[in-house]
Amino acid sequence: MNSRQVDDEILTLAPSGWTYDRTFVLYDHQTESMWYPVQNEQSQHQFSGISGQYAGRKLDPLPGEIMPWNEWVILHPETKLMDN
Amino acid sequence: MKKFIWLLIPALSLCLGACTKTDEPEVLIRRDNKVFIEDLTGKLWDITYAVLELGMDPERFNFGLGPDAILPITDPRFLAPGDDEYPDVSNDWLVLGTTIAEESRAYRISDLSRHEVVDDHINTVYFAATY
Repeated sequence: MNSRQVDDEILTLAPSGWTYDRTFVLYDHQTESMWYPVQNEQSQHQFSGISGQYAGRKLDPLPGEIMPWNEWVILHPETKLMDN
Repeated sequence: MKKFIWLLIPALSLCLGACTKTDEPEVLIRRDNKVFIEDLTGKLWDITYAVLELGMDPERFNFGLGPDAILPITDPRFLAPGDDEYPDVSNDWLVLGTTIAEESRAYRISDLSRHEVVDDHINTVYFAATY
């Protein structure tokens, strides 16, 4: 889970169609910069601009965890669920 | 005939090796100190920064299906507790869950696998759920 805002610009992130080491490379519709999870100083993977206008910029990580629905919904009884 | 088969085997293995090699981008172009990769739609991607500043290897970029091959979800819709179709708590399929600004949302991993990215926001926090 990552922020998709850089400075005042809100980005629409999308798969670029490329993978790198079997991980999807994303890009943003606004500037066509490419984004990829790069290991940061804390040894955590953080989406970083690897090409284009935002090369070298990073997207702030946000809380996110993967677990079975029956555990998530007990911990967060008011949770919404995407239904697209 | 025997001689023909002995000639055919190395030729076939050469072809198989070349045809199944997937660790190179479709087209790698170096021009004016810049590095580009061309995807299957003909779109050029400038990966100079990735290669020169981050040390990424152009040959490890794969597939290059084009930006329309997998579409992100940009208009997520949500079920809330009490809605008719809200799933039973006994389901054990995996979700990616988050809590932002005191609101919790979950995204089925099966949905994320199909689209890779959901562009969402809660109030003024704009974020992407990725898998």
